[in-house]
Amino acid sequence: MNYEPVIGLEVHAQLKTETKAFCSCPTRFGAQPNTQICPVCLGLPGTLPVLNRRMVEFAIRTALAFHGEISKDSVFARKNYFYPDLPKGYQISQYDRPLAVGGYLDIETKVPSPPRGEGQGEGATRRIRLVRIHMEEDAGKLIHEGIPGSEGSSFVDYNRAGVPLIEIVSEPDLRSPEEAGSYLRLLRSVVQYLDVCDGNMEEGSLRCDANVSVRPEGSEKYGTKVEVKNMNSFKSVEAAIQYEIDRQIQAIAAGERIVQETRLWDADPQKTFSMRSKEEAHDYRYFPEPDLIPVMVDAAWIEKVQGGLPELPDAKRRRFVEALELSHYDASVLVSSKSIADFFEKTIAIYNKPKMASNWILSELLRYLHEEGRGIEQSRVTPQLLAEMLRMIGDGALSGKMAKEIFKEVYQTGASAVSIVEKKGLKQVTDESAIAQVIDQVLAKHPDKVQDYKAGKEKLFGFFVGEVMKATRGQANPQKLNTLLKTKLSS
Amino acid sequence: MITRKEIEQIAMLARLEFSDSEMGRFTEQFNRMVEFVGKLQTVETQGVEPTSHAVPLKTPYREDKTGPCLNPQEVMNVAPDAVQNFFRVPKVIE
Repeated sequence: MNYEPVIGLEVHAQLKTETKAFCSCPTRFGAQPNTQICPVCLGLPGTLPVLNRRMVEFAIRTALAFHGEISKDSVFARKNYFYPDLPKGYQISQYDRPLAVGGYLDIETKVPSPPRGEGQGEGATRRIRLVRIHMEEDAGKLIHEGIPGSEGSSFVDYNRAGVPLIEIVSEPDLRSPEEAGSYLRLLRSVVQYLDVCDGNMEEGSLRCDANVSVRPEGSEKYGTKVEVKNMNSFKSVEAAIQYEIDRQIQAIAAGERIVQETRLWDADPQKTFSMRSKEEAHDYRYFPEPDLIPVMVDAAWIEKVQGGLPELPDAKRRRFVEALELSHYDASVLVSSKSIADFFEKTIAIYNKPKMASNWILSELLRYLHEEGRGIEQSRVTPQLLAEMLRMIGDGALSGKMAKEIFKEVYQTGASAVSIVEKKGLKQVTDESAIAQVIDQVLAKHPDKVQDYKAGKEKLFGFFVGEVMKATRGQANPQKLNTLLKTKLSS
Repeated sequence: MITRKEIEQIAMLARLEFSDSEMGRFTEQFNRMVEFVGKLQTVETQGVEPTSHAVPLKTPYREDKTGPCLNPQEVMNVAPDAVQNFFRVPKVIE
């Protein structure tokens, strides 16, 4: 029997505020342990939380970008459980009245999957619906080893306790690990465009849990779902989901029943493991947080946030394809990260040849950056430097072949193409008489080959081009060389 | 009807331990309380907005500006157990 995977994702995004959700402690990552704590986030008796306005604004911004409906009065709730990373014994979250409900992301997919979505093949999209977006506070960080005398102990750092999060919950609309990856990448790129979250999965500022189940193909009923946690990269999210799908199909095929449980992904053996310690069913005893009153968001505020939304990857990609005539694939890669898109747009603002700029960024710049493991933000090549070199190519002062060599040096040194060309004496020869002179020399040196060519061995044309290029150290303008050579050989 | 099993569950969640006779007494008392509060069920609430707060207030917001934090050494001095500015607790994973 064939099985269809059914996947829903719960994504926690850490908001890029200066301070925590309910107190004025800083949220800086990597600070010394317990240096960013105060009586409020430690849950000391007598303290009261006061809501960070920017947290709400960032949450509204995200919900609007995903087409969610903002609630005019959402309510914070206490989620009660005992764990050392939670100083108050409860997490302030939202429960039955979240900040936003509904919304969607249109992901790119190769799988044609009606009824939602448009088209098939390249550029086809599928709509993944959202259940809700709500606000909550993060818990502290537990460390289990690496501290002297740590046998039998765990250690708690509360710097992260109270850091603002939003949780973005999808409907179970995803149908493959690749779609889950595609959804997560788009989601990350949107929160980065919105500048509300830095999207760093390794540092945990973007975290993803997956609800995975399988059902016989064609069946409408959902299978029993398993929650998979502990993935800290796109790759591990896809691998964990794939593992879980395979595990469940095998179990069903062997006549076993899937148990509803939480499993942890372990990247080392590439397996998911049942969380043994969570045997008791959770009872969070949610109730409205009495220390905070409902979060009132009026229409004026929503309108103001809406007006401040930047162009999002979807719209940008469409514009790149339609107005700049880039290929769909190129446009997708360019918009996949805000910093790459920014680099591209700055480059064409200086020298407006989009196709050329896109080619150089995608094939040369990103390749070099990738080899070095650098982000485009740390590139020594600036949009200014790239634009300058593209202008030289466009003006015919540099052949594409020479440019590749020059670009390597621009990349390594951050020097301008103009200065490198001057230093190397590499300027392309566009002077026709100079090229003609070299052609004459080459033809004079190979009278036999000239004769063969004239007798019909036209393949020799490439040989002559090669010889001229050799003699000019590759600096002859190829178009001019071709024209001149043809004229000379046919005379 | 509140069962003794539910009382045991509530006690467990609250991390409280009670004797056998206390459990019995609480079960009976819980039931009396629920019955008393049950009078509210007779009130007609159709079309009434749910109230999550009794006092109408405008949300007080805080600007996103950092303020002072506690000195970790001072905090650790009064913590039940601490090592190298970490709070120490019994191991929570095996």
